[in-house]
Amino acid sequence: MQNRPAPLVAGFMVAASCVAAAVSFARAQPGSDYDFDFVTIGAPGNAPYTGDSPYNPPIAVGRGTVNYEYRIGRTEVTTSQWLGFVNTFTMREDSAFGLDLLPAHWGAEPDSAYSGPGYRWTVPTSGPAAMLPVSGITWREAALFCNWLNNGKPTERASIATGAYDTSTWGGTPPTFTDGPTHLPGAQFWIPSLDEWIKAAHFDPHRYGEGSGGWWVYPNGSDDPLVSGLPGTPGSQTSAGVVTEEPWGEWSIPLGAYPDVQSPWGLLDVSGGEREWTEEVVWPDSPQARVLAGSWAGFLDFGVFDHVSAFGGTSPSSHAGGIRIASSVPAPHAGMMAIVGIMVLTRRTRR
Amino acid sequence: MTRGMRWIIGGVAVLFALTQNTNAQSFSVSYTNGTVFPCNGSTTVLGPYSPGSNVTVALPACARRVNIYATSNSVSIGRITLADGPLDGNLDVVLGTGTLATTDFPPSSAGGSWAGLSTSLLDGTPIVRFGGAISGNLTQSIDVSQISRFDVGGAVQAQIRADNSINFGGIFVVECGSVSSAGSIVLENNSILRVLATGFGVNGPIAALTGNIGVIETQNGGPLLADVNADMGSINQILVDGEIGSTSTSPLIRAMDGINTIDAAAIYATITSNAGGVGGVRRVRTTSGPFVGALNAYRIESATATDGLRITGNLDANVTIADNVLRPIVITGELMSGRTLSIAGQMITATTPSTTGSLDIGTLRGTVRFTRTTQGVRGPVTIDSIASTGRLESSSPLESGTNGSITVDGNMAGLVQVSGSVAGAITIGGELDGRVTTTGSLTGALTIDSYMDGLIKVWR
Repeated sequence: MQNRPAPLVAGFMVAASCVAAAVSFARAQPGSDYDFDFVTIGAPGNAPYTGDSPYNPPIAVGRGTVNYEYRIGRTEVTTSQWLGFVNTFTMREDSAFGLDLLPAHWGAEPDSAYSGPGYRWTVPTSGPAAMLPVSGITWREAALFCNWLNNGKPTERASIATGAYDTSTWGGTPPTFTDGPTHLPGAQFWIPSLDEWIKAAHFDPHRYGEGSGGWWVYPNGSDDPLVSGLPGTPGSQTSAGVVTEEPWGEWSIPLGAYPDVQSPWGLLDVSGGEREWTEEVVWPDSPQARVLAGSWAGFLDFGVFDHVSAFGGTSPSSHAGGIRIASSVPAPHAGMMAIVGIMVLTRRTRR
Repeated sequence: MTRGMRWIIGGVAVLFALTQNTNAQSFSVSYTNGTVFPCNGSTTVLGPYSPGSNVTVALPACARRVNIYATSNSVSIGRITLADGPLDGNLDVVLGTGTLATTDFPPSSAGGSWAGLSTSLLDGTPIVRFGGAISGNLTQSIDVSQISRFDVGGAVQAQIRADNSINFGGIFVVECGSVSSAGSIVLENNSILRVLATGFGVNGPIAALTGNIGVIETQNGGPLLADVNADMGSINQILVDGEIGSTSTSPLIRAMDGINTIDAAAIYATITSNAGGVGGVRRVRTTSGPFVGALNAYRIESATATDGLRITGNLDANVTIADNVLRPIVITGELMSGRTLSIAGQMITATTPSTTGSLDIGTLRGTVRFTRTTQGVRGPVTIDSIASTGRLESSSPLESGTNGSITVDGNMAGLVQVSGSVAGAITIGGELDGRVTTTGSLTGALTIDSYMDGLIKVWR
């Protein structure tokens, strides 16, 4: 009985802190997860990749350690997820700006029913258009998309100038390169770092048994190359290497079309889909490039870029990739925390 | 210290300084031998050489790798001629230090400008594999067996040529500031993955002689002013931040197996996607200017949903589509007088399979011709106005139930001519000063919203 006041106080403190956390959380999280399907990448402090690198330079060797939990998209960004971003900035009189946001390939088409201002894009409801990968975007377009998400999908252009990436740092033509190398502290959505990407694609927390982590060479939890083929074809695992009879029909293969082919964390389409931008800036003496990871639909020699050790890279202004969004792990929901606090409080009180 | 000693010490110091200065502004070449007996894996460094000096390197038969590198990115490297060397096997030539890159990961710059590479004095026929980067211009040619990735910070002022019959897993990448009119990029076998010009565009030709071209991209307003050929393959993407061609230069863009995407501010070019084949186009688009020249394609393809041909401006080009149009043709300006847009197949809008073939023109001053004799028009034709020189001809009847229709939103001073019956809809939103003729019956709806001062002629 003498100890009862202490749990009471503790319980109230937990509840009070949860309320405070709720306020704080609400301010820090302008957007929800929207319609992104994130998987959480755990095993903080995992060992780096130290295996072979048959491809040169050996970028991945010694990389892949991430000392915190984070989340990453189960799929690359889809056409339907990019659609609102484009329309926000093209459905206006001064829509020329919006052109820079257009992917080289995606599933949307101009909306002939829209009479202006500017123009609007729409996604056909029939067929796979909504789930086609957003491909052929620049790194900077991807960064603006992250800013847009971080700021709650605003409609003012000025409001996507920062959030995850400070666009005021973006320099001009090479060799001028002043871009901030990484996302801003506190960002909720960003382009994954190289370490985050490698870990999500190739690290298995149970590679050598329960709790004994390690690395797979290929992004499907295997050391054997993936098998190319159309979805539904027995044994097929990736749209990479697929060349359809219909010209460029491989780009009409939707994301998630190989649901059983996953990284150890559950990522889809690491092989195939579109090549993915990472945050990694290439080398201090030629830092005008960002690293691209993974293979892409139709590329015949996909085994190279499916391999854990092989990466490419190019100008951040090149329409060379797509993105898979990374995100912070939300703090436990404040409401749940409050319930837990109250449960603790009442349980103690009953004694 | 005597005066003589001081002179000696001073002289040595000056010589030392001069020597150091030379070393600070120089380039070197090294070769590394293989490790299989009798070769010993050793590395021999030659030089340093004065900036810009031409060097002939006599390689031992054991040599397997050559490195070319300067002391700074401002040092010009002279022409390197490789002589003697191995009779066969791989001989890697790295513009930089370390081993040869085998992906398209960006290489570090090895120096400033470079006068290129000659392998003509090699004794045997080794597979010369090349990769690396310079920060300046490429002033003379390189001709090697394989290229993985070559970055030229300045201009490509000479030919880059590779065989790539045994390639680096599909990698052939050239990234540069620009390709000058004296420069060119030629790949004899397999495919070009990417050519990127970050500065002043592509002014010299690019060709994949037997394979495909992946991406050709210019940035920062750079134009494409030279030919692009994939005569035995396809072209995936040509993304030009500036214009393709100019009012005085009209390059040829040619492929046998199709062209996926061409985007540019404006296009002054002759584009052929079915040169000796049946290649279609998926998208040809201008974002702010006309298309002047010609487009020849087997088909406007349906793969993924987007415009087929979208010209934000005038179409001053003859367009010949040998087969079907499965995506929209949109010309926001005029189809110019004297120009013909000819479709030999069907223009189809349908749900299964999903196609959105249609034609939307601002002002028709030239000729639109559907030459198929049955069901040529199976999608909507919408024209803002038809000038007196404008002609819209269909060699097939306009059938009902096929999604085929002809709508002129404004005035019609030219000719709409249908061979056969008109069971579909023809609508004239403005004045009819021209003619609507059909050689068959008129059982569909012919609507004239304003007054008529022209002629409707029905043969039956």
